[in-house]
Amino acid sequence: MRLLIVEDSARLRRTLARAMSLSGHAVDEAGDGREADSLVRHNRYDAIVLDLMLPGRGGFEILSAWRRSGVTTPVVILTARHEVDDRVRGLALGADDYVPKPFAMEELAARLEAVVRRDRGQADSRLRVGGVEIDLAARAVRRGDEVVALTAREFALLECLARRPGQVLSREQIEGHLYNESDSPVSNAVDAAVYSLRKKLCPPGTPQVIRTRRGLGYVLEAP
Amino acid sequence: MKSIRRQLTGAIAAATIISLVAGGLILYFALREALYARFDSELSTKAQALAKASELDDLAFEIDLNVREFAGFGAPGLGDFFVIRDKDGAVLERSPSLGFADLPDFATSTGEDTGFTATVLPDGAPGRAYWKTFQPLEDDPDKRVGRPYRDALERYRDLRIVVASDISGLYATLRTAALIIAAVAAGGLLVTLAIFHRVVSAAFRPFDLVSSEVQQIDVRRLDRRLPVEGLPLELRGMAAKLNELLGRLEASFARERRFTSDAAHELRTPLAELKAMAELGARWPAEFTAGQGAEMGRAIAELEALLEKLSQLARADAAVGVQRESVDPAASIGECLARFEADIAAKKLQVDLRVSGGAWQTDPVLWRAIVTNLIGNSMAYAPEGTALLVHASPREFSVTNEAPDLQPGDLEHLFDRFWRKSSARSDRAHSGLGLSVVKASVELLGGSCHAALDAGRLTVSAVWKT
Repeated sequence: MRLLIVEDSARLRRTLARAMSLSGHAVDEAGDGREADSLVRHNRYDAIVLDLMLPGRGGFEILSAWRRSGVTTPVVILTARHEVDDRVRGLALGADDYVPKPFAMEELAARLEAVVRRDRGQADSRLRVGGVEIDLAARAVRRGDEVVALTAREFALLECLARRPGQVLSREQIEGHLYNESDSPVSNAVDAAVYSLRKKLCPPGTPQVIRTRRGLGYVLEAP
Repeated sequence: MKSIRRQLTGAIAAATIISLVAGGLILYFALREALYARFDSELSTKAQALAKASELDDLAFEIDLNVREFAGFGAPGLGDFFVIRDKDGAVLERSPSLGFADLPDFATSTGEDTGFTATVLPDGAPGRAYWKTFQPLEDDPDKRVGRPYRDALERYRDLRIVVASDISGLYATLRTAALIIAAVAAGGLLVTLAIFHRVVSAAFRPFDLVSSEVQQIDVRRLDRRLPVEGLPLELRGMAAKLNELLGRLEASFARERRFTSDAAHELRTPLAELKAMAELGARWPAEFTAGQGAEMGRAIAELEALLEKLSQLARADAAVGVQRESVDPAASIGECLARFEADIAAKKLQVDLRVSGGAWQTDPVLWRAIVTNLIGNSMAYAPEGTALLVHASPREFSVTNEAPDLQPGDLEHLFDRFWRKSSARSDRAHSGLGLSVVKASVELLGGSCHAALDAGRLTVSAVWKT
């Protein structure tokens, strides 16, 4: 997933971004509303983690402006404000979920996964393509009874394709989901990652689930 | 359970009953006395008339027959009787109404020459009798000569007359009067109680209203107020005062809730930071570097500083005993500045310390909280390379620093708990509690806090009355 974390506490923001990166997500960070606004206008995120108390424009104001301008990216509010009024207001303004501080990282990751799944209209977090079963919530992949061990980057690529099964994704689109603003991937980074993922997912002799559409990109579909 | 209404009704009912009974008795006995007096007067008039009608005629006693037949004396059943006796008790004359019966000789039985008494008449009816001693008239005083005449005079001297009349009519009148008085008293009591009930109910309606309103006040929600308009004068003051108290309580509870909420809020972010860092290290041990450990240490230090301020505030709020002792201001301020030395150097601040007067009596813990928080606050918000003026005297302690971002409108919030110019918590070293700790501590020491903004320079001072 490509995520944006908007949090004024640098310590929490950095830790959260690092944990999400290690989980295989591409993460951008913003310490205030203006920076967050700029990133949202120039990038396409799968989900946004938004703190409410930000310097300058507050979280409610930013969220309201995004929704008014047509930004439909799922937003999970992450805040120390526990009052029911705040939760109701946040959800009424267009937030998709609300996680109070302090929180468990796993719970936040699961909630992010859930809001993204809902956004894509997927009821189940598990997806079967050919003989491959992908559990997006547990971040696990099986082929038959066999567990397929993937790196965070490989899982991120598979997740990117799995969230749009049957849909061709260009290299640029995949790149946008795998790398954040500060990453500078080499030109064939996506192709290399696809090659590596194919080898692990479908060993020689088994039907391939990631297909190449020449001049267009890659697609995940049953053989 | 005691009820004022019930007590008042009971007391008024008792007072009314006592008044009516006493009034009724007085009226009854006054009427009785009047009737008896009139009856007795009639009896004595009759006796007087009979005595006047008696005479000695030719040495014999006789009575005017017309008078003897007068009123009810003439025949049995008419209710009036008389007997005239000589001084030896021999009956000389009796009313025809007596027939063969007689009336007692009260003069002999009582030893009194005259008097009234109750008696039973010959016909068995209740009666009242009057007796007196009298001298019959002499038909011709010129005849008072000779022994026979002197004997007759001696015999008919000091005659005694008893007159009695049927008193049952008077008794019937008294019974009727007693019944009327009792009926009027009972009716009066009922009417009084009915009127009183209405009056008391009307008078107590505002009390009931206030009582009902008070009972509807929810201890968890104090936004309800008593209606003052329309209440009687006696309750207005109480209701207004109660409303004022409720207002203060509500504000106090709201302040407490806000403080608790703010305190919890302030604690959540550093806790979230620590938890996130701990989880990161637990899941990806390679991430738990020395830098990460130091970062966690800083987060804990900030948490400690926040808890220390909350503790100072709680101590000031609890108003635990102020223990004054001699404190050297120059030394204690110097110690505080020494603790901030590294920060002062990092921000290149020029500190101008002016202390006048020697040691003074104050609570050293509260004093340290005031000095540390006031200097710490000024130092944190003073722009780099500016001057800090710290002034202390026995009646004032103030710190002045440049405050380019502060607006005059911000001054009223400066001592509010958790107030910061920006609501964001990006700078976690400042909880927004420092100046509220100063204010609470100064007030506990009997002083007051003031803030003034002059040409971009903020002066926060604590002033004590000397």
